[in-house]
Amino acid sequence: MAIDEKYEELINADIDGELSSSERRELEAALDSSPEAVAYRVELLELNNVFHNIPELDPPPALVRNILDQVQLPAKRKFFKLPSPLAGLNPVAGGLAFAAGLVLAVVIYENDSRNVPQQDTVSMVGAMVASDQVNAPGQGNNLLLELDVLSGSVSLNLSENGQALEFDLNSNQAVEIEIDLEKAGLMVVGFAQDDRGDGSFIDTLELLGGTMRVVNQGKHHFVIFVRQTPDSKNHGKDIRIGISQDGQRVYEDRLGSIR
Amino acid sequence: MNEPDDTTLMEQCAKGSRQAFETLLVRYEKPVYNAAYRMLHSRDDARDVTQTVFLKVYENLDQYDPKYRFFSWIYRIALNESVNVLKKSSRLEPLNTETISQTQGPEQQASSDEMSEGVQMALMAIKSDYRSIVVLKHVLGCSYTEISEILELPEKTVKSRLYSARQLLKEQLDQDGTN
Repeated sequence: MAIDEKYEELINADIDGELSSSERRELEAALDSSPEAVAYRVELLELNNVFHNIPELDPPPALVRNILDQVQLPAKRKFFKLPSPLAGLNPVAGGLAFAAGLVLAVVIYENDSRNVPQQDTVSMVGAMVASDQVNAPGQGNNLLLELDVLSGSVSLNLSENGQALEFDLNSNQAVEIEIDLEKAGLMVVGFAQDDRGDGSFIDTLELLGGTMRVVNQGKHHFVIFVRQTPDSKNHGKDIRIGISQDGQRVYEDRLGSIR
Repeated sequence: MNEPDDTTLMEQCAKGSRQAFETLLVRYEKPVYNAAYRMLHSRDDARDVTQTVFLKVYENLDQYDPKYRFFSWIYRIALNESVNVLKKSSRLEPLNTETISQTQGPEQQASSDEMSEGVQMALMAIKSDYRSIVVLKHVLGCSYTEISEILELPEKTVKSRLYSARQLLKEQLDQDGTN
């Protein structure tokens, strides 16, 4: 059924409650003179009625609680994601060269500087890493992940500035990885993500107390640079890693830290 | 006592108020979930998208610009996340209704509301950009101006797509004998 474009617009606007008074008069005239317009309006009213009668669905009862359980409000967060990864950053000491175009993301952490010599903190914050240098050299420990929700690997290697926890992860759904560094006597000094993933940023990266929390969805390759805390001898050697989905812990394991 | 508006709640969230975030969550949980369900036709996916949307809101509290309406922002995130799910599951292109019938899970098969199911199948048979506009109009009740703001499209394009989407839906429903 062919209908004048103007009539079509007026009838749709009427159905949507967006008709001005002058347009209403125009529509009434159109309906008086055009049986096609009348028929079209009836069809649209029927369609509109169908949508009106669609029941609203109730979300799962636990959804609000699940979401609240996953958030920590800003006062407790130490989380910095730079909107433009390279903007305003200067390469830092530490021997990590910067290769333009290879770095996908750089995130800087503010460390708790208690008991840490000031010059160390300054030199370690904000490492820029080229993708060909994310793999830190040296021997380390490796954890292969072949879970239903997540595959990939986590490895710990020596780097020039301390140790590098390297993650190569792939998951369709959002999967939360918690790395307990404090109990292993380690502190975070930097983070880098390179271009070997799917091109997106990892969803969440947080440092809460001595625990690093990462939410991975998609394919990502990134490194968390760590170093021993001054009191590391009082701590264990293992880095505990926990993996959860929808708030449920699905996997736990340990990586031995390098002393 | 009137509840605070969205902008006030967002300001309180940014200052660390968990109560304000919870109020926003309760206020928008249902529309976001329903929009995601209509986009994806899966309760599990709708739940995941709703969760992701609110976590993104929380993570980006500092990026919220109060000159825009909060619901525009959250609905945009919800639709983008839904489209991401469609992309990841290679469902971006419309499915024909025969395919949809074969891929329904038990939750859909158990639905007693044939009309609702018929509309949902018709929605799944149109392209996701048309579906987004129909969801914004008929599920979330947005005006042309609001849809234009949410999708960052000229109002003229919004109208044109909505009219086309309706035409496609009518044809699909006639074909299925639902309308």
